[in-house]
Amino acid sequence: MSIVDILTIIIPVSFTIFILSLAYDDNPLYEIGAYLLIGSSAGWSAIQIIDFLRKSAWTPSFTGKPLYFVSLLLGLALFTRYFKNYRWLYRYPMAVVIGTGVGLAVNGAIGAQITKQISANFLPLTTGSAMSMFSNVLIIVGSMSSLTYFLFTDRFNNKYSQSVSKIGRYFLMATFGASFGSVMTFRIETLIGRIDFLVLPENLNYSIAVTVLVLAYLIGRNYLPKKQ
Amino acid sequence: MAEKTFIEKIQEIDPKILYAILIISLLIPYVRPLGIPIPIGAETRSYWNYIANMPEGSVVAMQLASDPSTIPQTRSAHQITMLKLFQQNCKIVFFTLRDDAPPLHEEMMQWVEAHLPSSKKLAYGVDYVNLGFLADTEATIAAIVADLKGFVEEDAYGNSLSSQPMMANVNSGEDFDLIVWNDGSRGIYMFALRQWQEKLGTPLLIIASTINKPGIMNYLQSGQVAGAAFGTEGGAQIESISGYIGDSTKATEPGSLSALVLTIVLLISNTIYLVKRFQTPTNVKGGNVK
Amino acid sequence: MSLYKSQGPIVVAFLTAIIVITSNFIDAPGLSQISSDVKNFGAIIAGFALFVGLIGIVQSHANNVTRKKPLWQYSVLLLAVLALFLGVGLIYGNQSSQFKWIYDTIYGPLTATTYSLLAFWVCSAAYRAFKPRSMESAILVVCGLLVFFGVQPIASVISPAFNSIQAFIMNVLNVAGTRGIVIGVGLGILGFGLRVLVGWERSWMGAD
Repeated sequence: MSIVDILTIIIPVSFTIFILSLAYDDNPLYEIGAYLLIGSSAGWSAIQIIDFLRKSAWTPSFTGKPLYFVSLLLGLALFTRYFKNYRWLYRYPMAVVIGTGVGLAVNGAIGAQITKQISANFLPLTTGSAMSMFSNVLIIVGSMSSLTYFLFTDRFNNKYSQSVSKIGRYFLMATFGASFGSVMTFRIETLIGRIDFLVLPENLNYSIAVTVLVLAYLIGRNYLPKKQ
Repeated sequence: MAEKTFIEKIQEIDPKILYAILIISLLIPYVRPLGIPIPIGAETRSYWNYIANMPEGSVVAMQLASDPSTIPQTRSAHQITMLKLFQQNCKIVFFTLRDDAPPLHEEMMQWVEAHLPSSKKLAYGVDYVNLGFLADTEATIAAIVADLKGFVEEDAYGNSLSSQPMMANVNSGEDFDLIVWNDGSRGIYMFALRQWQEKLGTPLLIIASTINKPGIMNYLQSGQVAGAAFGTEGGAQIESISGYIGDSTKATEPGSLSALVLTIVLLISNTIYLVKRFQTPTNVKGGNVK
Repeated sequence: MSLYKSQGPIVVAFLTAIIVITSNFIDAPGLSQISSDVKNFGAIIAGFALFVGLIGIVQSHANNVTRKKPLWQYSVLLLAVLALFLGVGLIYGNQSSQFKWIYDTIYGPLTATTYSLLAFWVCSAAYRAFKPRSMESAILVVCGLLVFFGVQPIASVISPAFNSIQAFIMNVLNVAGTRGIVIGVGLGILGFGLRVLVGWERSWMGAD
């Protein structure tokens, strides 16, 4: 194996175990990994964004769309937030981003999040199996009552509304429980991804060696004399 | 100070012991595989049926928003989908809304090319085009849907998009027959839902991590999403249906055993809590006294 | 404050939003082209916005190094690896094997492992806080455990009922609650959009 091949294995294995060492204790090895992550992430993102801006703004500006120079100028205007006297210029590109975002969100929300969702609630209550009818009733009752939970005006502050709102709260708790279960599954799957990497046949020996060294360092540093 | 009871010690257990239990339960299947069968879920079945029934010559948009942490969960579903679509002579336009996803796409393309029959060779610009990384905003999807070639003039490799043969009749969102959206853990599937599927009715399939499953199930039920594959389980199910058994199937075993062990630990902890709560006497005015 | 500093941006936000909204309902050739360009501009400016954050990082850590603040040595490391990625990316190109190599050896493992750490914290949080203290929390705990365990293949081996119960929670109870939230969020988006259009929402403009 060449030196590059060895580095190709030992660097990622070491960084993986440095980061995982936080589970034992906060330590300088984890700090090294964390700072390297921020630096590498920033550097990587910068190169990708340069490439995106080149193909969607710079190139069109020179190939028949001179108007796109305006987009470049607006983008550069974002940096004026670092200059006190010209900070107000930053608001114009932000206005374009906010206005576009609001326009798109409003367009999309009306259909995808309101009308389609309400029409999806029109479920059959008299056809299908008993289980499907029961499920449909639960969906209709649950979605309406959980929506009621978010109504805070005085008109809804009566005993009947509060009962409906309470039912909605129970459905919301079931939703949050399902979310938490999904989050736990997701996080463990992420950890499995790293363990899969560490136990690959080509990485296993290095993984064991680095783990032993890091554990020895973590346990040993507790016994080192502290600086006065 | 009075010595803590066994129950109190269990309740205030050092987190490192929990972490050790988690790690050990994750490592056991690597040493001793369990051979657990994979049941196929309804949403994954819908997902696969849609892919398997795509007509020849269909134009598919495939978006990749997984990153190095989530790609182990979504890689299988994504690359097997790519392979199946190419086997059915579909055309694919790839793009990503994550700046760290392009190398992951290249790795998956290598896997696909290695698994295609020798008689089928993919030609760039004829069978697929890669737009690369595009800004991670809803405006990007809206721009693609409105005027793709007006928004992106070059592909990921610096070639003019208009010069690619398969892009001759692909100008906007209307020219696509399917969207396959690999969301990773981002939760940006709403971009495709609001700006593409809602506007044009283009069918939307989602590959996502389990963290997004509760939200996406709602849109599956309403019919706005045609099918979905979630996390390692979804990937293992896709591997099982397609016959390309790989890393996701292997990864379900550590997940299964650790979930069983952790569920037992949490049940014990909650049982102890409930027993202690109902055993503790209350005084006349309410509240518990030790 | 001058009109062009305070009112000008509000007018621009209003016009941009109106162009995008009306292009969805009115099919006029000029309007669709303008709307398309506006959307493109939004995406391009968002790209620049990421650079603003990057400059903030460089500024902050360069400050740590020049003023020898605590842990300044780590800031040197950060700036060095940032320079490495910028240098390799600009010299060899973002499609080069050299750029891919530093992605595979440095960035990829670090980012993947950092997110995987949360598995430990989620487990200890579940152990400490996941307790049925009331009816609501009992529902949350029960549904959480059933979904967490029921989705795994081993649950179907122990009993097929686990998978069915997990599917019922996901497809019925979860959909019911999520639908209420989604409709509420949709209405909230409309409300926020209206506030931005009429100029009542100014938090995006920052301080005067």
